[in-house]
Amino acid sequence: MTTSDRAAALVTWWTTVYTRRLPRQVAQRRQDELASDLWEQRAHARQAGAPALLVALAILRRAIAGIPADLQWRHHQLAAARGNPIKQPSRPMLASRRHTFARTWWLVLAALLGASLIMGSAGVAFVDWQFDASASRPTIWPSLWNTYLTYPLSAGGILLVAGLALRPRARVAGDVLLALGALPMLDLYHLSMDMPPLGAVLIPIAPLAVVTMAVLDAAEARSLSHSTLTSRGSSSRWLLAIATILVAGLVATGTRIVVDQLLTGGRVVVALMYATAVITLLAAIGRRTSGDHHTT
Amino acid sequence: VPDRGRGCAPTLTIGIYLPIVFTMRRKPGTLLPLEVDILDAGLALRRTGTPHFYGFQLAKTIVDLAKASTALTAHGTLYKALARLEDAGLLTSTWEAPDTAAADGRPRRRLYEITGAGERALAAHQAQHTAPGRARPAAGLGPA
Repeated sequence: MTTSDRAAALVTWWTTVYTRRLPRQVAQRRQDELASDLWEQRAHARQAGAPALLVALAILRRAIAGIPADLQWRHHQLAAARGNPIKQPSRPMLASRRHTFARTWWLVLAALLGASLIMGSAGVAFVDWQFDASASRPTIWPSLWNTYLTYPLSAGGILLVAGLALRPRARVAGDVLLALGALPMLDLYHLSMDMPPLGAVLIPIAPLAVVTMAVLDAAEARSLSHSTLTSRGSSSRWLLAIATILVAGLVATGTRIVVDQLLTGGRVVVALMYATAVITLLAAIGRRTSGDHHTT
Repeated sequence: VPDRGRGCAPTLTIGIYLPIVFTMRRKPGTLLPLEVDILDAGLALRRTGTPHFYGFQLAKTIVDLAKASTALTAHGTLYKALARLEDAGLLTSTWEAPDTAAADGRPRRRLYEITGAGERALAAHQAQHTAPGRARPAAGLGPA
């Protein structure tokens, strides 16, 4: 049993849970449709040569995103079975906005993070230079600490902007850049201690949400497509190379900081995350496959 | 008390309006964005010689039509919308013959087809949402 089979089994279990105590025919139809859908998605991914892990992530994402609709459907079916059917309220404008929001919220978040990282890191470097000058230190360079701080952050911001620009043309490559770009901001969790409650929640959660959604989106796109990242064309190869260099720099910086900061726990985690993210994402998404056929 | 089905008489009591807002019914022919995507994808499949389509195929076609920039529709969202369209008479569906599925070694597919009413509803929606002089290009499946 592969990872994607386990994910499908989990979704099948969930289907039996939310169809419990519904009329037999209604429940059976939903279970059979889901069984067919799960089989077709895995069959398609197999023919596309997608790794089972990515297919599993794509299946789970679809299932989790559909849970509110599943529960609402169950509520309506139960009401109909009791002879008291619920009419759907119609708010086309609201539905349209909700539909757009559901598809793009994490991209908007990525754009906000990218802009704030670039502007914030530039601001930190500038403030530091002013501080050094007023302190009569004979240097025009930012302090070592701020160099370390601004480099990963500005690199992250650039990666986010590049990912957003690339995604409409090459979804997987764009998603990889978005995931790598949001990673450095996870390192800012310690700043959230000094923030008002909203900032304390948003600073750790926002980049984590972008990383998670980008990885899930890349996994799904890869499971639907034959193309590997490296076969997408020269522009993608160049972007991949640039991203790899930037992230390698981040890893090196993170490692150096670990030494400088006497193995502060948070930075060890961040350094490990950079390395793990690069190895996992590039290995999984850039992996060459043997599939030559395509199903519809 | 105002007639909730056909609007309401003028009144200054907001408490009377609130139930009206929350029990507002869909106007006949109004399509939600996902329903438009489903009908659009179904017609695109029909143009490629596939009048009957199944759930995953439809979700994949929606992604293809969006030039791969969107994700596969979630299970719950997709099948709830399909059932809604079927209830409204815009789609019909039937189970595939068991022999066909067994011969291919897979579960049976629920096959959907767009009805004439579905085509008309989509055409009306597109006419309503296309500005004059800015015709929306017909959806078509690109190369797989």
